[in-house]
Amino acid sequence: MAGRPVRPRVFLVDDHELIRSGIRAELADRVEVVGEADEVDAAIAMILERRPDVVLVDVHLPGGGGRAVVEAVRAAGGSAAFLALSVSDAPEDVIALIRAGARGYVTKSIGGADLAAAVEAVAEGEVVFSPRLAGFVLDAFRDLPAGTTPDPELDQLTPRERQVLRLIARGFTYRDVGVELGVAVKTVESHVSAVLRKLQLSSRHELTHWAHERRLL
Amino acid sequence: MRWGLCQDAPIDADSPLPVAPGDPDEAPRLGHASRPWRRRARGAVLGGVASGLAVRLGLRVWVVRAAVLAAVLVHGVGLVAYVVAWVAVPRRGEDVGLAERVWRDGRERHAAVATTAVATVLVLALAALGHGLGVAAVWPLLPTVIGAIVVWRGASPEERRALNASLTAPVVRVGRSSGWRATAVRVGLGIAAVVAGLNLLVASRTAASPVTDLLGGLVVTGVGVLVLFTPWWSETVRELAEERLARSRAQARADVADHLHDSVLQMLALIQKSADDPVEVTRLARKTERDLRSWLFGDERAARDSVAARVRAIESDVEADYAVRVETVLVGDAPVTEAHEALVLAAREAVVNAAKWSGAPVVSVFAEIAPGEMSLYVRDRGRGFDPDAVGDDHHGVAHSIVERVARAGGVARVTSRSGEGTEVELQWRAVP
Repeated sequence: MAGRPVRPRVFLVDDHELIRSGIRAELADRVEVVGEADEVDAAIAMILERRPDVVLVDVHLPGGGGRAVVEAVRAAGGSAAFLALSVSDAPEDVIALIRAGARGYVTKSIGGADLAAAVEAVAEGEVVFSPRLAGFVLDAFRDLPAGTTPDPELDQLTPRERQVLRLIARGFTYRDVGVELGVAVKTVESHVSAVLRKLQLSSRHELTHWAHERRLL
Repeated sequence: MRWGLCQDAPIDADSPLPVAPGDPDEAPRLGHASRPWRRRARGAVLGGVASGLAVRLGLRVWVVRAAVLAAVLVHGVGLVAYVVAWVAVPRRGEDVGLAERVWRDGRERHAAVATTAVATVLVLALAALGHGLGVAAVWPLLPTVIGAIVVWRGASPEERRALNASLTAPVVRVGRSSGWRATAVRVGLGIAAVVAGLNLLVASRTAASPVTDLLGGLVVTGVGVLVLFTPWWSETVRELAEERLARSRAQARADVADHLHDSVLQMLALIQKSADDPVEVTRLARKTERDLRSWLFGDERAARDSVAARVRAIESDVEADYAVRVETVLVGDAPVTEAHEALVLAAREAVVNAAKWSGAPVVSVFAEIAPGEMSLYVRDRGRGFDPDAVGDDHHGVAHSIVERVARAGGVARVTSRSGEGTEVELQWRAVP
């Protein structure tokens, strides 16, 4: 990836100066940081103005949270891809952000190289499932016998998708998952994209219910 | 949303009737025959019976109210009818009436029957004692009291709140008004009531029906005292409530300060001391993070009998002892059984092994937990080993993990490749 001609243009949204400078330092030689904001309204305005490829957005922000940023930018036609970043790990917040349109979720304890790789993946339209997000999704789509939902197409995961998520939750990379299942990495990516789509489009009330039920992993 | 003649009634925002405003066909309609009679939530003085009836019949509310009041004067017929309607007719937005709701709920039914019995005895005793209170007075009184009991037991929290507000509002208003005129009226009324009550009490000694006069005197005196002292009393109550709130806030702040001092400040001091030992710093920071997190978010999984809590405990225990980060992902939960316990202990062993030997900075734990079933994966990307090359003396894997899981009826599998890390897979499913 070193020879990549264009580095992704990244915008940071986090209310903690320390975290922002830490991320900036970690990403410095692999991406171009085009701006940062520490609250919702400024973030929306600047993202729409500077048109970054990827927005790293904290789940918890004063003034509506990362979700408000994602929703407002998308509603205004912004084309940036969002990657959620948090320490909170509260499943309902993470799932809400994904449902609002974020393309992935990583925890702030992620290493610098992994974070840069995640940013690049999101910039290329891929989906980034951390083990924790895979766990949340498995949990949210759990225990639902076939034929009990109004829209099985969207409200359920296929056995293969479950298999992929389980491997990711176990700490496998997409490449590892491909090796384990004997398929191409592209196939793994299309599975996680399908899961993301289901997560965003499913109207399963269990998703909301589930989120309310458990405040924290 | 128009009901002909009752247009002066406040229009309910909660009306489920989707009628286009300005629809010429709808405007002149009188009442809604198809619409069931519902007690109204808004604009209700007591139960919303009269305003509900007004909507149902398409009359003005004051007409219905006047009719009810007139009926009350006829031997209390209106009162009884009102109470019966109150408990029988469902409130708007509710499916069943209060009486039906009380009757369906076993505990409420017992409570209502018991209080009704006591109230009946009291009312009859009152009738027997006071000669002045004849049958004519008792018969509306008894159903009214029973109805009040049903309302008290059966009202939804929302109706209870509304009722409470509409009953106490005048008292509170009088109590809070501070103008000299309000004060004069209040004091005048209070003194008059007290004097009248005392008069009754004194007269009761020589009256024909002493018990009635005695009771009446007590009630009137009590009302007078209440009117006189309401402002002072409500002020005291409010001050007490404010004081309690302030105290509990101060308490909460003290708790936070205590906790921050114990965990965070102490840890920061420790971290500064060991600033030249990155491993120790990381360990301390992780420990503080875990403590703070479980304290902030109230760890619901701390319950003793939760498998998820046991798995999570592996993370904190191993991180406290070794310089690794354990990343735990949990799906589902179940109460602990022997088999769950065996798998968790085996997983703990696997995590400790990984922490000790793999050299990897991160150990991933993934658990899928259900009551009769469990899968656990412990994975590291460390140096790995060749399972076949490990001799019989390698007790860790052989005994603690594989055999422990086998005894519980599960299967353990260890996959490891030199240089690529190790994964321990534990599976168990209850035999039906």
